[in-house]
Amino acid sequence: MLRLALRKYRRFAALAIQETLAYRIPYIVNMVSIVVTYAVIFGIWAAVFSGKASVGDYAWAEMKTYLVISLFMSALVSGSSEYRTSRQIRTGNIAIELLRPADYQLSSLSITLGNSLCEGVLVSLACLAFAFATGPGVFPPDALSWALFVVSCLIAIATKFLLVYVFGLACFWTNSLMGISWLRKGLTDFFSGALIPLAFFPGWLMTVADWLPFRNIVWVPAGAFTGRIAGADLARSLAVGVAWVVALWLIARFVWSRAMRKVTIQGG
Amino acid sequence: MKAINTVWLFFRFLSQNTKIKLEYKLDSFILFVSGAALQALGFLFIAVLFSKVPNIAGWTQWEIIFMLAAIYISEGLVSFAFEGAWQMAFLVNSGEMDRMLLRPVSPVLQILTFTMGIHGIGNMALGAVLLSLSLSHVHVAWTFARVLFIPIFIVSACAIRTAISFAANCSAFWLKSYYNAFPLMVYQMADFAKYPSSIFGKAIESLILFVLPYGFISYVPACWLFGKAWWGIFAWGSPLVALWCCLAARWVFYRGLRRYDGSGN
Repeated sequence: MLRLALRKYRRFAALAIQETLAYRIPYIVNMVSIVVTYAVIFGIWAAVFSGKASVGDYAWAEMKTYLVISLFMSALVSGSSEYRTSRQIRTGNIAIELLRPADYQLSSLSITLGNSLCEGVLVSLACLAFAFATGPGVFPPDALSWALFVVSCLIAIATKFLLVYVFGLACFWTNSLMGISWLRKGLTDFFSGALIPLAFFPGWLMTVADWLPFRNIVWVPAGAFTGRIAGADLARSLAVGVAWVVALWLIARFVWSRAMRKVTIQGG
Repeated sequence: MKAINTVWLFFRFLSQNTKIKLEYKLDSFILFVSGAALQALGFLFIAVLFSKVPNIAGWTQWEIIFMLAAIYISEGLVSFAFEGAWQMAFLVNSGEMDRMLLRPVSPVLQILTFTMGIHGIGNMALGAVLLSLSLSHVHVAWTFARVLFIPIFIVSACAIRTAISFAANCSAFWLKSYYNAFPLMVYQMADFAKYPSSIFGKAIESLILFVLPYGFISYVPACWLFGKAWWGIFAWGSPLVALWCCLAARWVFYRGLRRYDGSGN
């Protein structure tokens, strides 16, 4: 039974990979736009650090590494599934999805994972190029640190997927995804620490960021990689991350069940 | 007479589009709020950054916020009044443009005012707030010329922004696809003009001064106003840059129009 289910969802992921390879342009554009964003961010930080050994308690080598990890995590799960969900809702094609003998949330996750696999290759290349261009950085000291970094990445992917998914479901209530998508992206960029490490935040803003799920997307993986978050601190952060994934999964289920009452109105 | 007619038509189109958008109250509200919230986050980023460093490449916080505000205001106006530029791919590929070519009104006006973006209002409002905040914080010896300069540069900035975005969207005539990514890439280059462009190196600086003159929206005016570089005086040339951009965009449009053959039915 489980094997059958697994095969079913693996098929969704495989289809997503095929689709990405067939329609390369949006996918490449998305990458280019992210690289431009990071060129800007990188330029600003380089200017901030010029002539200084450290800013806050960050050395330039750590900051560079932080930005490369941030680029990696920001590019890994693009908002494409958000647009897929909203398009299906708006065109009414969601009805076909409902007829399929598959769970919508799980199949969306499979598709996102398939996309992430494709993105991962390109993103890793971009990050390597970025890392080479910017010179030496900071690396995890041992195998355990690497393993914990990988775990934090998985949590980050799950968190980002669920946020994108829940925001995408908002289209059951409103017609325009644009505003919602911007808001999600803006909040993610800011509160995940993608643009500026959370350690630079003033106390009150840091507290806000600590209570939001976004920090699991960049701040925790980057901290695990550079060693800024380590030991018991890291264990706690990862546990909180897992708790957020579970909570967001249930929230998504709840929003979906509410949305299902709405879908009959949209249908036609 | 023709000019007055065009202006009158522009406001008619704008008010009709606004009515259409306001029919979708929740959508409009979300767009308005998210537009303003995004800009506020951009401001917050700079505020947090400057809480740790006194200046970036010799620029202070409010000088950079001045540049940010100029970008926001021009971006807001394009979204508010000329959002139609972003519908070019749709108009070309669906053949909707046939309708516009048949009417005895300039197709450029019809395309630009095909729709409007509520979020532009939020952008402009926040941009105006940031602009006045920054001008009250920076140390500028206000002379008559400097005061006169502010409205001139804002109007030019909006024209430059509109022209670039329209010209980039005209690529739809050549790249026949509903998903046209080229204008988005061009749009994103404006990010380099939100900060003192010299920090990105000579190549990028030249790009936003000479190829896509976003620099004349924010960077060059800021250089002049705050006395950052001798060539800041070229900021007075921004109306000319604006005019050049508009003429170039018009030329690109009519070149592209020759390739347009409708959707046929």
